[in-house]
Amino acid sequence: MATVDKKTLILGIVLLLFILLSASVTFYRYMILRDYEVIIDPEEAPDLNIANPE
Amino acid sequence: MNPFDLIASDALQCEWGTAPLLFISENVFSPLIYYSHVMPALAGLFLAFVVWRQRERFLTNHLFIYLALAFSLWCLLDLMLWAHENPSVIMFVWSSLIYIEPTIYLAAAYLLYVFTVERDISFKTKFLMFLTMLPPIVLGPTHYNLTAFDYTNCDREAVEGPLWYYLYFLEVSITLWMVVFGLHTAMNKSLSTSKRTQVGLLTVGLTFFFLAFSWGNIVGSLSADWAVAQYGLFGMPVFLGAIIYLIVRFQTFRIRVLGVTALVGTLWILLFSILFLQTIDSARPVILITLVFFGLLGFFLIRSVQQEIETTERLKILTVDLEKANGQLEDANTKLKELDQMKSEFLSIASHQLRAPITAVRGYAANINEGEYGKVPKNLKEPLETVQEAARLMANSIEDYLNISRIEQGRMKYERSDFDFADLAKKVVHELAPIAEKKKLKLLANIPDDVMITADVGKMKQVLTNLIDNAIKYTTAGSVSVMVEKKEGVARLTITDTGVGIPPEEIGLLFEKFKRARGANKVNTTGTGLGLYVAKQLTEGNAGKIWVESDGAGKGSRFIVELPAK
Repeated sequence: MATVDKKTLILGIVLLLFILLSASVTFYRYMILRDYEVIIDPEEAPDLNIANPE
Repeated sequence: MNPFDLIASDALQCEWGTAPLLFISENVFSPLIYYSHVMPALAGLFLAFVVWRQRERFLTNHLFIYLALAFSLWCLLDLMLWAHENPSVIMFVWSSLIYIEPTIYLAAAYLLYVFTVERDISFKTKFLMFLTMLPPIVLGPTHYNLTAFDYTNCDREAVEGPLWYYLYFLEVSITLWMVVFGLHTAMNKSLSTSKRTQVGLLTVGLTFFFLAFSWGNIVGSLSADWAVAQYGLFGMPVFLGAIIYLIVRFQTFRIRVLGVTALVGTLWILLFSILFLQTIDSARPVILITLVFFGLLGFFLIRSVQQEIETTERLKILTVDLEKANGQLEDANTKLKELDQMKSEFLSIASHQLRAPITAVRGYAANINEGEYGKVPKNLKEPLETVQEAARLMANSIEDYLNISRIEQGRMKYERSDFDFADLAKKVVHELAPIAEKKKLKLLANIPDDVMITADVGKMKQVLTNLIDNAIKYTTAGSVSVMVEKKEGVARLTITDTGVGIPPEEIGLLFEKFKRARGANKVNTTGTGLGLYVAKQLTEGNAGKIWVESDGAGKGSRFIVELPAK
């Protein structure tokens, strides 16, 4: 029961690679680019436009 | 001002601490957060480790390990959100949860299904599960995941996007499926009570765990009060409790020692977690001592249970092997009995067919030798005597074979009558005297008159013939003496010879079928090893006893027969 068939193995590897790829993009976006909006005050938020400080 | 400088200055105003260890900082406002995260994370890691250590490759074990590890990772990442002050880290960690959470639910549903139906799910279902993961994968890095970072009022939170509603919908759907599937199975009367109970318990454990987990997350997301979400994590002990009970009671996951190990480990972790409560400063040393003692006690407890279970398992395996071997032996025994029966029947038929012609040969040889068909030339006397002797020996052997087949088939009949045993002994001595004489042996007889017994006269004659003939055969020089005496209600026959004797170690084997004394072949090549066996069977069939005494090899032997006298 525990032996994994080839199709399942490929599907699992594809899923893992997709997740890693997606997480890497997220990491790049938030940690490197710091590409996110910051809300200091909900009323002022739309005017702040502080995303991507670079 | 650079927005991040703004955050930094604001952070100072908010008095956020730094989190050099990722998980521990002043930002975690309540010990409850540590307790609700560290305890389940450590318990999950511990359980995953114990199941992994078993090295038993079952799909349920693998799924359980994944579930426990993914949950532990989730707890630690969530704790980082509480502890860390860097908005980038918080955004990244928060967004990463979108990949982990659905897999926890999917793995749990997968585990419940495999545990229930005891086979893997179809590839189509696996593909469907894969598809449910595509939205988080594709939309994870976009604004659909997290829309912004909110630190209004020093809250330090990410603002969740619509992708999280998809996630909560998925979580609630999977939880509902598990409840329906689990309860449906638990109520399926075609399954055994034990199986239904196991599935029911696992469903209850998983459902409580996920309801608490989802409730915390969903309520936290909707109400933005994340402190409330912490109480959800306390569903974990319920899940653990159900799993532990399943393992202890039913040996679920086929792990024998896991139950007690998990119990001890979880209790230890619970105690350890109490150390984080800031209100128990004075009790901390006591808990530390308790932890040490409990750790030691737990170690010995686990070891003793492990040894006991291993012994029981070995015994079980041995019992199964033994039963198997026993069955094989019984089969072999039945076959052997059948073969033995066939052999006896063959022997009986063959002997009957041999007996008639040999009797004729013997009779005619005797008649010719006695001159009934005219005078016998001197040079023919010896060959004729040889023919007579050979025929007599053959007739004796045939009689032995016939007796054996009758004994073994249970067809031996004893026709008992009163007769003079002494008289019978004299007759046999008389018949065998020429053979002894030919070997130049003294055949001495010390036989009184009138020793009456009740037995089968034909069978006793066979016994006497076999024993005296045997004594003559295995004596090369000296004498064979036959003595009959009557004392204390017993008729006793003693045949003493000065022959090859019997080594002590062979005395017990002599009356067994086809057994002959070592070196017997050198003295007599015609022996079959049946004469003494037949003598014993016939004597015992006549309520008598037979045994042999010898002072050793080369020192002669005494065969003694006792029968109840009249």
